[in-house]
Amino acid sequence: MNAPLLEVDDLKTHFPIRAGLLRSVVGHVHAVDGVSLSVQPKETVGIVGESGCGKTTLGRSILRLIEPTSGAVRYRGEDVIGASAQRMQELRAEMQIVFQDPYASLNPRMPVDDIISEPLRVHGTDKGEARAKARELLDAVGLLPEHGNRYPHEFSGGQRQRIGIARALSLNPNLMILDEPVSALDVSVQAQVINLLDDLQDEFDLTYLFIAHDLSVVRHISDRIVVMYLGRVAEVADSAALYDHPAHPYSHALLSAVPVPDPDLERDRERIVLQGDLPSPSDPPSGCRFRTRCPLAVERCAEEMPELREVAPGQAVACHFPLAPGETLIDRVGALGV
Amino acid sequence: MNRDELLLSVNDLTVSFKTKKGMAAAVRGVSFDLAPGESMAIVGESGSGKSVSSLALLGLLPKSAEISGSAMFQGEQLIGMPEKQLQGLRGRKIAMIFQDPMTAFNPLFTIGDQIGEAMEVHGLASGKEALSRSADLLEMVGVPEPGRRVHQYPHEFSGGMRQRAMIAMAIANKPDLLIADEPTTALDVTIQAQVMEVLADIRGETGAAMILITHDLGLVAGSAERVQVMYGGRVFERGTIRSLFYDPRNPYTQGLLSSMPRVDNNAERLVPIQGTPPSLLNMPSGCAFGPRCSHRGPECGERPAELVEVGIDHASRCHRSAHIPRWSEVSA
Repeated sequence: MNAPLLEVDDLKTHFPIRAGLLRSVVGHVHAVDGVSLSVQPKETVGIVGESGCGKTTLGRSILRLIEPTSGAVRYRGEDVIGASAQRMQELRAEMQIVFQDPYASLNPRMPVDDIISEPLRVHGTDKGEARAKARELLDAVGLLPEHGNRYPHEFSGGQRQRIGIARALSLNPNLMILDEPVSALDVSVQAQVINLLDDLQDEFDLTYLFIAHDLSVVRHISDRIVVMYLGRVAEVADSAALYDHPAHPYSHALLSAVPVPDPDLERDRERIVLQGDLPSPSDPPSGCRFRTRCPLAVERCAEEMPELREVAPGQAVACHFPLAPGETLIDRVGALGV
Repeated sequence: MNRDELLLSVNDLTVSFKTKKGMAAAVRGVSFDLAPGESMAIVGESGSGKSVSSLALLGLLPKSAEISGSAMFQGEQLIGMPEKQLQGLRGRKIAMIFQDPMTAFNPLFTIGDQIGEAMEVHGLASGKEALSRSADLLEMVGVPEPGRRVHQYPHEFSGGMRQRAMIAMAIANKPDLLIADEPTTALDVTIQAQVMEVLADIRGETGAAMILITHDLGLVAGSAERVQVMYGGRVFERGTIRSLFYDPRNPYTQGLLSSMPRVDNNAERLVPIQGTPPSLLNMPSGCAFGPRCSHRGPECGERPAELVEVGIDHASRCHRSAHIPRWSEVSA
């Protein structure tokens, strides 16, 4: 195995909750609470989870768009958290982010050429060269180079997301953090952007950290998947292994809740409907974060926080009682007589 | 089915909006029938007209909307019905569940007040009785501690619980028709599963018919009997869910299905539909899907296609139906 391009080690990002006249700190939201992962060059790692699981904060903390509270981030072995402001600017050229909302993330008063070439200008490229590069990138993301003098409102949602991707590509990054890049798009357009991301990865040797709530999309695009729940990693596995035999009860329930466009499968499948809501990240449950909704939870789960440990090559799970390959949550619940 | 037995019969419904840039034709001649207790889905992407058509039925569109056509509900004409009479129907015989339960509730009143109000305005219960029935309804939709939670405000409910409360409000007066407009789009997938289960249970108990409006074909497969696919304000294909998912005949439906990544199998590459959905202000002449269609022929640019029967209870709007490969060949 190669040296990882990105390593995240026990990363924590806590937000203070302030209240009262003096705005004193009365607690913390544990948005990211001890996440470790590594990403190999040219790999696509998907990060999935429901709202409040910390996936977006994780992406931003890696780039220090939000300063993490503790833990380490290493890019090609280099410490990112301790990097100087100047070094950070250089590092950000190699690590780019694409945001979810193609309507809010592009300056409406700038022509598209300028939007795409602005990062180059910031990094010292002269205007003519930057503009030429912008036109090249428009072509690379499937837009017409001559549309560079248009403004964002003249483009559709899918086209705007292509512009956001072109901007992220302008500095020849190695790593792209894609935060819900297709979730605002209609399904017919979403597929175009997913295919574009596939092509660009091959063309520019990109490494993707793909953050999304849609498991179907994540499965399609990712080599490996990290399932997050309430600020922590529940399971990490190869994409096929996760869908074939999820070991964490949460992964299993999450996968079984995703509807598939097949009426017979929908009718016949065993669906585990999780009870209850996500607990608040400001007051997470003791022990295992998932225990309040887990059909398998016992006393130990409240007392002891499960560590992420390997159950098969490439598959790690944070659960005291992981499911064996081929075993379903329903089998287990049945065997326990719950 | 005998027309008198239908719950709802919509015929040639057309809705246009006056805008500064001209007329926007949002719905262009939609017809469908719904039997009592039946569940039908309307699927489409943004701008397809799927939401506008049901808002038009309930008289919920702004004054700038021009509506024509016919919609018979239990023998009464909904289109052009005086507002006063519509108010008697809405929330009583026909109830609507919206996408965003945060904006659908008034933040200044308790959940119990608001569910109770739905009964009070129709004179079906009031005061203490309305409150205790509200608690019963919350219990029915799976809200824990209903006796306490009727006194809470919308912001004290999570997204999933608010959506349950909205369903409770919608079924308060035992409507014959529920219109659910993207009822789970704002929810996480595990919460979506809970809410869809509640909806199915409630329909099992009350026998209400449902129109489910959604962009999610997966959701349709598990919760409707019939489906119609809309594009550019028109129905492009309609049929039973089996015919639509296993034998889609319209190039747009086929394109939608092949664009979808699926959680249960991994295609090496998706087959997207090229281009983007048309603007309502600038509809292509001829078939609205023509410019994006890989099967288009010369006739497609000339005039819109008709919705034609292609099988039992299965119709498709396409000039080139005879030339469209069957789905079994496309997806193999």
